[in-house]
Amino acid sequence: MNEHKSYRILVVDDSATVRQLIKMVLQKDGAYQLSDAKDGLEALDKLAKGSFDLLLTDVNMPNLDGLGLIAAVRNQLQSSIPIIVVTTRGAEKDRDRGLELGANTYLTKPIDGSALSKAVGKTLGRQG
Amino acid sequence: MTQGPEREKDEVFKTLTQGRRFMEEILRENERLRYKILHLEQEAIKSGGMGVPRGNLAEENKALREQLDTISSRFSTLAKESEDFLQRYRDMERQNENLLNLYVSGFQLHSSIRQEDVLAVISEILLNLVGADVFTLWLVNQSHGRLEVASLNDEDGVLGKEAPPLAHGILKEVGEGRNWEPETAEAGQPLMAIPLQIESRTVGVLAIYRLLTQKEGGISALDKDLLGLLAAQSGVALLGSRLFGQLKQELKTL
Repeated sequence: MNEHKSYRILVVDDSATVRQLIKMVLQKDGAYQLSDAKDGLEALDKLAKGSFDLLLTDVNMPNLDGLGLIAAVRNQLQSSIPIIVVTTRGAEKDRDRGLELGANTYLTKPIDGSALSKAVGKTLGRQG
Repeated sequence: MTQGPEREKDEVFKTLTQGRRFMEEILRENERLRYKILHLEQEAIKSGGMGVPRGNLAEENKALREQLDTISSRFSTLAKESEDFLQRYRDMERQNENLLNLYVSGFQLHSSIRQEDVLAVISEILLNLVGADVFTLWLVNQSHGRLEVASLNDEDGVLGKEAPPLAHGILKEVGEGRNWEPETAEAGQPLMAIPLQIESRTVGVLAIYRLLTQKEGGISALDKDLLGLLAAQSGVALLGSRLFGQLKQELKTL
């Protein structure tokens, strides 16, 4: 839709390997400014201080986990930023919980680069 | 790194677009010919009463039908080619992803010299990129040559806790530098065991016991590529970190 706008994405995962992989997957799609955080607390701080178009978060993290982060974003920050969860937790109840708390999309690991890329593009209205 | 595949991807897209346009043209031509045949058939019916010889019309009709068959056959060939291109594009996408996984894994494995960091990276790769849920990493203890658990990812803490000798059972094969996979899955046995090697010497063993429930199709060929890299790079990364640890210890005692 708007290919020229540069979207700001915050990638949250306690694994540096995952953060780097997600950033590289999205970098090849262009048009994204990528920032990262290693847990929910750091992410919350960055979200409060900066402006982002999309939040990509893991669930299992120290300090503040992904579910806590989603709840804080929706309730504490009163933000409607789109949220995509990328997690190893694949059970139906985990998915329901994530979506119930306010996530827009729920993806499971192992990371599938093209599925992730499509989900991000779709969420930001860059592709169908 | 991705410029080659990206350019190839663009070319495939271009070819697919051209193919689609060509097929649309053929479909239009097909439609036009069908209309013409219908028209000619109606003319033939009418001309029966008007004294025009039906033989000519029948021949023209036959020629048009043959033309239509040829076009339909070309259309089928093009449709098949389009399908092949699409498959090639998908394969390239998968290869691209695989290369990215390999690059990130290799980069991260050598990003730290501390053994606990290297072990953490190995666990991250296994969990997030391969989708291994339960796994054990054994390292050979240099002093007595037996395997010792270096990293264990199992909530129940049951599997892979024992440290069998390298010359025993599954580990004998792995100890000799070969990957091991069971012919039929059995409880308590790994799905796959791979040797970590330095210059053909086995310095450790990685065994995967269970995959994440959402991971479909078991350990794929791409996973095996990644595990192969992990096996080759982990040995070196772990040896480097071990030597660094020893040096640090020696420096302390000096």
